[in-house]
Formats: sequence, structure tokens, C-alpha cells
Amino acid sequence: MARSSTENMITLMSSDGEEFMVTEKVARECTTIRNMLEDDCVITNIPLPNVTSDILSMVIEYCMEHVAAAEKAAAETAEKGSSSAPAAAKANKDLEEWDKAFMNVDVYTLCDLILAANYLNVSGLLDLTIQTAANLIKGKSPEQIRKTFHIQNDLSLEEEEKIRSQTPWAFEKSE
Amino acid sequence: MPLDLVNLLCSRLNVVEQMRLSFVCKAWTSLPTHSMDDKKAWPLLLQYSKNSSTCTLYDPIYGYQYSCEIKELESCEKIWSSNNGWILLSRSNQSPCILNPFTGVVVNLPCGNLFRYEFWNKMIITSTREVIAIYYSYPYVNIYFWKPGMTTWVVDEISVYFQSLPILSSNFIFLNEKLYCLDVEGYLWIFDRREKTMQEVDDLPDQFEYEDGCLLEYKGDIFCVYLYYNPQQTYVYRLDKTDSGEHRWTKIDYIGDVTIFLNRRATFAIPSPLERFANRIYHPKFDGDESEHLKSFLFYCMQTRSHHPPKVYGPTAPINCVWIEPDLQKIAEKGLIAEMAHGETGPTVGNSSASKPDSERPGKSASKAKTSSENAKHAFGKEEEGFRGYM
Repeated sequence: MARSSTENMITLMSSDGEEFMVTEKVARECTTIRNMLEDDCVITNIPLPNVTSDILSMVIEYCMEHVAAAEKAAAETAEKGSSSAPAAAKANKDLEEWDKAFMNVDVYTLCDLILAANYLNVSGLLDLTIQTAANLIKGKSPEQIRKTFHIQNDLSLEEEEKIRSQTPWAFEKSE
Repeated sequence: MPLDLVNLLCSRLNVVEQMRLSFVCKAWTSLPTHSMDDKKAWPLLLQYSKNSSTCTLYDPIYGYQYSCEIKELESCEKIWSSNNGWILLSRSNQSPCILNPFTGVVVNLPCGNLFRYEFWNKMIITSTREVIAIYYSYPYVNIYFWKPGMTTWVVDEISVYFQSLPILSSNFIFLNEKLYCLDVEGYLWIFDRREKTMQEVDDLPDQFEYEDGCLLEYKGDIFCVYLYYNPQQTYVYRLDKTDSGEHRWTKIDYIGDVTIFLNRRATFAIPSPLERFANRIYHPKFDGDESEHLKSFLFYCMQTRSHHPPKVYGPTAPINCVWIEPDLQKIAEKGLIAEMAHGETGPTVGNSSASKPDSERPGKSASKAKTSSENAKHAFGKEEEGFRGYM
């Protein structure tokens, strides 16, 4: 990423001690960090004890892509006076495609990303990951959902029987 | 995952999935009671077959289908209408009833001779669970009215001064004691229960050709949606009153943050569940045959003025289907944690029905069936004073 040298760089430190240098603009995509920066503008090193390096690098990747897309759109608007609708639509579509490819991860990573997006308060990423998880649930039976998310069934037989008799309509297997 | 994040997840799911999600593990069983947001509840299409308890629910937005077993549909002959999570159905050799398939609660209606002549009758259920039926018997039009708690129908008789009666073709809307319905020629008829009058609205929508119309009520206004398949247009009209008190149809170009679900049995307009579903009119039609898991529902977008998918003649509607809005409040009340043994506490229960031993008891199925049949007998006995009896 070519950046002007005048831009502030921020160091983010993951729970396992790895350091990531990002521009302030990218860091500000995380509302949690933006708030920290606004409270204390000289801060340059931010420890994030809740996020591992794997996940943090993904979050940063997401933020960088989205910042770049926004900058590109802004530059185009400035150039032409107004952004042409087809170009904007194409850019949006490209970003959507990128998001889609970005979400091609296993469920463990997905869950970690949801937690990180929630903790760092990256609304776009939280929205994307939650929707991805929701899509994984759609059309599945409780048993299939458990399998997908590696959840142990801790309901007793009686409890399960009770639920079944109360809401049989929700319980039938999906086709 | 923390519960509040699972909650967030829940908001992206339809009601069937939410319920299923809450059955996954102990920690999640408490989910539905506080995660269900009215706005996220869009209608599902219920497809049934005569005398069968097996039915299918379709999610029009995501296209998923769920096969369900609803015991109460076993003797179902016809579903007339649905509203607010309740469906109104006639049954073979039994009185008609209203049923909430999500809670399994059945309320039997008093029955009369009239329900034999299905051809001439139309029945609807309102959002407050009143049932209104219309029956022609020249020179009268009878309007039957029932609400929860009543053991007989209230009948309002309207004298007919026409040579012939209109052949009503659309769904009914009941608003402020008036029944609205379109006839086969596209004219609107208003039956006034209070004034005991029937009135034809002498105004056809400006682009009217002979096509199907569906009526709907949204925030106190009456709307009509006309489907024009060729060219691929759909028009929405609102019923307005001129200064001189005459009814006029006004064309609406933009329905904004509203999604409409069309069906001849029940048409609903709801605030759009998600922004991108705004300004859309969903048909009860979809592409994809039995074997395909995902259905793509046909909808008309008011903004682009086109149907999606564009091949309008491709998607088909199941023969017996009705939109049903899941009644989230009741489902939440029925949550397995809150083990409610008796009755409903909703604000819509009429009169003293809450304290009456009627069949609104979401108990175990065996005991409920007994209660229902007892109640049916009760209803039969009562109504014989007024009607000639059903059998």
C-alpha cells in the first residue's frame, strides 16, 4: 500500500504479541480504536488482548480493503464532479464480491471474526459475518446447526421431547 | 458465542429458523423471548393439501422451505383467510375454526347451514380474530359476524335492490365495520354492517383492464394491487374520498419502505423486513420444482417497474396456499421456559373469553383435543337455536 509519509501510523498488538502497523485511517474503521484515538490523540500503540494475530490480520485486511474502496470512490467523485452511477454500482459490486471471497472461511474463524468485529466495533464486518453465519443456519434442522457450529447437544431427552411436543411445526426435518 | 451476538444472528432469521436455533442447546433456549422483533417477521407461505396434516412453509425472501406436521390441519377442507398468525379454515364434518398453527391453539366457530354452500360464501378473519362471512340469499345479503367469546353469529341483513348480485372475486377487507371486495368486473363493493347498505364504487382505476386485483389494508387505508402480466406492470391504487364524499382510486407509484405479499386469500403489507426488500410486491409464486431446495419467489419491484425473475409465466403458485404472519408475541409466550398452562393473555381476546372454558388452551395435544370436541358440542348445541344445524 502506497501511503503518504505524513499519515499517522498506529501499532496494533494482538493477544499473542504480534505487532501490526496500520495507517490511522484504517485503524479508525474500528470504532473502538477510533474512540481511543479521540480520547487520547497521541496514542500510537494499542494492545488488543482479545484478538489473536490471525484474526487481527484478517480484520485489518478487511478494513484496508474498505478504506481503499471508499478512497477510490471519493477520488472518482472529485475527478468527475459527480460519480457516475454505473461506475459506483460496479465498485459496489466488486466490493461485495471481495466480501464474499473474504467470508470463505471455516466456522471457527467465522465465530472468532464475529467476536473480534464486535469487540473492535467494525460495523460493516460485524454485519457481514453475522449474515454469513445466518446463511449457514438457514434451512437447517437443529441437529444440522449443531453439526455446522460444532455445538454439543446438552438438552436432556425429556427437555427435547417437551420442545418437540410444544412446537412440532418447527421441528420437522427440512428437505 | 455470547448470547447477545446470537441474538443479533437471530434477527437475520425467519421465525422457523429462530425457533430451531433456540433448540440447539440449553444456553440458547432462552433466545426467542427477547430476540423477536416484529419488523423481522415477514409472512411465510403455507401450502396445504385437503385432509392432510402435512404442510409446507416457504420463506419468500430467502426461498427456504420447511416441511411441517400440523395436526390440526388433518380435517382441513379449505383455508379461507389468514391474519396476524391465525388461519380460518373449514373442516370436513365439523364447524369451521380458527387456528394458530404456531401455537396449536384452535377456537371452534359456531356453525350454520350457510357454510355448506361454499361457492356463495366468503369468510375472512381480521387482525383481532373476528370472523366475517358473507352469504347471498336473494333478496338479501347476509353478513355474519363473530368474535372470540361469542357462541353464535351476529347476522346483519342487507336488502338487495339490484337485479343481480355482484360476483365477488377478490379477497375481503374488513375495516371500520365495512367490508370491501372487488367484483369480477373490477368494481369495488362496500358492505356496511352498521348502515346495512351495500354500495358500488363507480370508479375504475385509470389503467384498468380485466385482471386480478387484490385488496389490502395498511395503516387505515384501503389499497388495491392490480397485476398486469402483459406488459409486465403492476399498479397500486389507494382508495380516497373526494370532497363530495365519493370514493376514488388514486394511483400510487412508490410504496416506499413497505413490502406487499399478495394472495387471493390474504394480502398483507408490512414495513420492509430489510431495506433492500422495500418497494417490492411478492407473489405467492415461485420457481423451482419439488426436488429443488431453494425456491425463488416472484416479486415486482416498484422502483425498476419489473418482475424478478423476469419470466412472469414461469413461476407457479401452489394450488392451496395462504400467507401467514407468524404471531411472534404468542410464540414467545409459549417459550418452553415460560410454561404457560392456561389461556392467552393477549389484549385481543374479546369479552370474557379469557375466563371461559373455551378451547384456547395451549396445553398438551391429547387433552386439548378433548377440550376442543367438548367445545364443539357446546357450540353445536347453542347455535341450533339460531340456525338449522350443520349436519
